[in-house]
Amino acid sequence: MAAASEINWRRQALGRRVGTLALVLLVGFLFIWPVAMLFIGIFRNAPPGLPGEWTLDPLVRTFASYDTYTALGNSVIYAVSTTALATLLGAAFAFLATRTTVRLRQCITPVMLLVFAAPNLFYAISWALLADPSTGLLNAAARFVTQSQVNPFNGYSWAGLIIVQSLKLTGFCYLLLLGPFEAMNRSFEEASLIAGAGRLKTVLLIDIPLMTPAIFGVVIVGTVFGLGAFDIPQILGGLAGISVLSTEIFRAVNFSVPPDYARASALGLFMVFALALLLVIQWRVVKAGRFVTMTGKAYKQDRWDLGGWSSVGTAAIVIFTIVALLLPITQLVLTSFQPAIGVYKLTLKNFQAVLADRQTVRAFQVTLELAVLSGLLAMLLATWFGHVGRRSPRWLERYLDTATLVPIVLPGVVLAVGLLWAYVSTPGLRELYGTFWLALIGLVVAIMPIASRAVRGALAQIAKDLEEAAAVAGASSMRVLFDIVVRLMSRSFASGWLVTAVIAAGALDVPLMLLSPTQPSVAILVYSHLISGIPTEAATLLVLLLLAIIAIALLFAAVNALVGIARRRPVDHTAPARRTDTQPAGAMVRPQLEKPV
Amino acid sequence: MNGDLRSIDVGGAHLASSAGDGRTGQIAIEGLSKTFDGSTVVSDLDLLVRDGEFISLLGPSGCGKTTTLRCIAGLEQPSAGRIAIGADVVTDTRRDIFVPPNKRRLGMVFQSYALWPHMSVFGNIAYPLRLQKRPAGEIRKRVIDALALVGLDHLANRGVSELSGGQQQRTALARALASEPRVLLLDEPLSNLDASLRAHMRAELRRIHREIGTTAVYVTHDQLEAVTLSTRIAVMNQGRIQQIGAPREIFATPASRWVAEFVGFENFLDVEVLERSGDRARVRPRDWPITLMCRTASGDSTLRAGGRAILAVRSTAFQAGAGGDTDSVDGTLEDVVYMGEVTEFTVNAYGSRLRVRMIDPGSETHELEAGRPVTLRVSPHHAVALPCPA
Repeated sequence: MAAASEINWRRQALGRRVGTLALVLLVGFLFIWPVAMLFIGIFRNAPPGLPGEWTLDPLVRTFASYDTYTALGNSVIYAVSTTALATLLGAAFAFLATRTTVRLRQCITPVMLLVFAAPNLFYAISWALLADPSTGLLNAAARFVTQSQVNPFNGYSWAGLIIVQSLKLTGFCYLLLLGPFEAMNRSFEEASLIAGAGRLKTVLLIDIPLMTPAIFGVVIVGTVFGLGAFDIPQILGGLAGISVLSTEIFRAVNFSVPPDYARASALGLFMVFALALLLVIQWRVVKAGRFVTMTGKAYKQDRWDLGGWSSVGTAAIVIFTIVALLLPITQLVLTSFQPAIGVYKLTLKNFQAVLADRQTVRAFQVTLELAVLSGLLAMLLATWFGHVGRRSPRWLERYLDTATLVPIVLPGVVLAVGLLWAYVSTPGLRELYGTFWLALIGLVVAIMPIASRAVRGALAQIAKDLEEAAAVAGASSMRVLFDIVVRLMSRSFASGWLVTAVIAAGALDVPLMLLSPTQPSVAILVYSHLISGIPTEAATLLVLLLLAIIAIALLFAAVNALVGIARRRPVDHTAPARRTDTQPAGAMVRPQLEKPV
Repeated sequence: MNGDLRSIDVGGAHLASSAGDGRTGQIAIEGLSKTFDGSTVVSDLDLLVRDGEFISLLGPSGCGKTTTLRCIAGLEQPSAGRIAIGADVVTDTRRDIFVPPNKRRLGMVFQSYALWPHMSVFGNIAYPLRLQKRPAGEIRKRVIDALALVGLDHLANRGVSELSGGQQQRTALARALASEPRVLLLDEPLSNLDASLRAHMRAELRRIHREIGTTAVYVTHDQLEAVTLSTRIAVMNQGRIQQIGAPREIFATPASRWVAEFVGFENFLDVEVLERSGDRARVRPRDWPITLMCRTASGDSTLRAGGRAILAVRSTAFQAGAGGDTDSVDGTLEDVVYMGEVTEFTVNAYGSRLRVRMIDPGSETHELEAGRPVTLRVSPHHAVALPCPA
């Protein structure tokens, strides 16, 4: 009996190795192969899947072209200025929210969460309408106030581009800075006050130096997203004649005849290197130990009373809320009820037209399926990788972790080009071209960094002992995953699914490049209505999309609350020594590196 | 091996039935090594745990005891070595055999207890039984039996986060025992309890092991736990077993200076062996005018008359005043520290500095102060000659 079982165990050892190999290959194919193919694509003179020759021509052409450097310069200006503004605003609001007694400070986090969650497309379109040089609400107001024919606001300009992107990015920077600000050790400040420094000196000499690494990290990540931004530059910059790298890539594929995939790849790879370099710099700095861990117990929550400046802080909160949320929403809803932009009459015609369109209904179906499935798949994959990673040798854990973070350096348009190369050049997968499935894969890859950060946070809260105890009790690896891990992280899993699905639902770049034009998602439809000159219907569609997202989020919150009530008592996730709690949905959007798609 | 078990009503009958051929719970470890990132944690370790034995792996943190336990459990894959539990080889790196932990039929109590927070007490204990696909009625009976064994019969439906530390500990033990494991593994199970509860649970563990007689491997750094619970103790350091034996053997006759220090010997003297007979020897510390009687490690053949050795003496081996036929030592008091329960003296004897502790030195020692001459008697039972390190 013993001999027979030994042979069995040896076979299993072999099986495990084959399983590991399969996992490594799958992860490599999903996350690394597209980047590799992007590289190879530079040296091909034909689009993916077509016979071509090896050549250096595209590379030379791309880097000898004046357009490339214009776009590059614009990208850098765009990324740096928006990041600077957004970090400044985010840090100021994080300070107000965590360290002062300013009124309305409790509103900051909810507002920022909404700003973060709102799709880029929403900002692009609402501000395009709001600051439209002739018909926008802002200019109408300016004309009314000055009783003249001035039109001071123009969204289709450098100023418009930078302000709108900064507003959107502020939500992200704020959420990243909130944690470090909250965790700041009050005793450092107290020591400084006792040493004789005033409040202002304490802020300048203690707080700001302490926060520098955190702020530096946010600046780098913000720059990464600024460089990769597509929706806002495409919509606002398109009319202003401002091109950045991502819009240039889109143009190379969609407006060149024949599509210039080699140029798109060259520009894309350029971005990949730049972004990877930025992230490596950030990791180096964080790793070098310059990051001061700011933990410690404050005996009481001592917030600062800013005195006369309090009302300035409150005013800043009100103004930001108006500018970043209320104005865009008002304009969007208003436009959806207008017969034409600038005509102040209300009508339901747009809704009737949109809902009567069979393509609209189909687009909502496609979007729902894309969002729900991509979120679910990304979370399942992330959970699986995370679970396997925890019980694997170090190299495998690091491989899984790093591979799932690769999409951070792949802005949507670049990822799409890479995926086209990767799948269309692979025999048997060519059929995926232009189908729902390739777009689905694209979204899964794009939201993977967020999913894997969310899962990592949740897994870290499950003591490894709990899994080992189940293994010793006789549970197989899969049973451990489903009986213990998934059960314990179910709430985090659900909120991660929600967040990734919402991001996928509002994504424009990946579906726009990968879905067939005959089967558009809602975001694509919004975009195409806008560029074909029907902004009212674009606004209507966007309103409907946002309503659908809000409805789903509310449904989720309700179910979550019901589950919470149904659980008799709070449950402690870890062994007695370590304390944890389930993450609320809001916490999910605070992993260290995130990528708005 | 578990005679008194049959007289126990609750939890007894089924737990006894597994003790088939007397080898089922034996653990044979040969050449076990484990390296993490280049550093060796366990190094070429051999250990035979007999069926029904309660063996403790005792050592300071980082000595490899927990790693050894986790290799037995299958939670770590050894870098080299062979482990057999009963008749089954569960790990053999040379033949590429590795049985995963869920197929080893073991019970394990974790340092953190590792109770699953989403299951009740009953659910936690029933989980291993459910995985064995036992019928529902049997599961119910076994869980109740296991709870009765650890004295928690009334708490089956509680959530685990509502339990106190001691109750969690008992639940973890019940879970480990419910499925009749071949071997029970315990990883510092008492270290998260406060002192009084620890003493109580120690007694409980003793009682439970006596009742069920399952082979147990117990990892601890607490000497008291190891001594009170174990049939044998394996003292470990730097990934190797330094000495293995019954608790009395290890504490009376440590095999090396390291083990002697670890089990509390505080005085070490270079000595010359004058004569040896059996486990007794007469030695002369270097530069001393007198000789002392002492023990030798049983079976130690390196100590011979005329050779050198190290004499280890417990600080409690001394008594004040000369008398009887024991050897007496003359010295000078250098320091006196009152420590409450005991008083600690530093005595300079013939140029060697001795640390001496006495419980309640009594009125005549009150006048003892630095500079005074003292005479001490040395109990030969608490002094042992150790081989010089090579």
